[in-house]
Amino acid sequence: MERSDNRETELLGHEVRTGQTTVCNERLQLFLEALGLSGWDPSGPVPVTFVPRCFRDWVDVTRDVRPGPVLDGFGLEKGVNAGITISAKLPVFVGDRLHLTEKVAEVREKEGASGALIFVTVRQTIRREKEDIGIVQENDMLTVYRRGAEK
Amino acid sequence: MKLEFTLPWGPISATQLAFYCSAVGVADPIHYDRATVAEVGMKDVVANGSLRVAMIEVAIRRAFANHPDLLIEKLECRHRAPLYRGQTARIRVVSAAAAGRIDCQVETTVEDSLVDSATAELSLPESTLIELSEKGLVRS
Repeated sequence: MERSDNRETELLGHEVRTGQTTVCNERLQLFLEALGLSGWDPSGPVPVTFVPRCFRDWVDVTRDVRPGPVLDGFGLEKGVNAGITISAKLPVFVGDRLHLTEKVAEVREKEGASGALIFVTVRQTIRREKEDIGIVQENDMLTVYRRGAEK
Repeated sequence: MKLEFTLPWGPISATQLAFYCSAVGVADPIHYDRATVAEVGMKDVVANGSLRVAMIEVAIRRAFANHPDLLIEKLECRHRAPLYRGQTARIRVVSAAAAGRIDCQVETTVEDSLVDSATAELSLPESTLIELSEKGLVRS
């Protein structure tokens, strides 16, 4: 157990990524089209579930694009998305300039039938530029990993 | 007093899954590459967790006529089982309104099996609540 406790300490607070972007109508329309939605008013608030997606680049899935795991280097095997919690304080609009910080907020370990399961919560904190209130959205993403190769 | 709304979703197509991956920058092949899922012993490509949560938001917004004043203050979703290409899901929203707030319980099922469960806390301006109440979309 001592080793896994140390690993948890290493993971906690680990900064996964940071970034900034401008909420773009073209990407919003692609997102809405993927959901089968039409007629969304682009001058109104964007869907809360779209906001964290603004920070990803377009991917051509017809090509062999296989990035490493988000927490590469921590000895975790590929994870399964177990859930998400979104908290929004203010609506977000097309044209807003947003800043993202993504950190490991919680790590729990459970012993499963086939070995250790690691429950990792990554918190995305999204702020709007020049916004007095600061945070516009926080997303906690829970992913379950298996203990993999040594770091 | 509670109101219910159900959004059918599906059959979920490979095209939708691949298009969603492209649109949001997800490059994990378990969502679009059937050869990869066969290698890892899965029966088919699976819907992204974030797509499932986005569809829950769609269902909640449809339940309230896509009103632009609706703010989803909190949405908590837990995935209970995989959702595969070819399956048809039903997203059921049960909502209750009181004092300018709306609480929702959401379940996504496939043939009566639960695949997602979620809760949501919504807020609306009082004038909008009255407007939706007059349309029969909100009862307090």
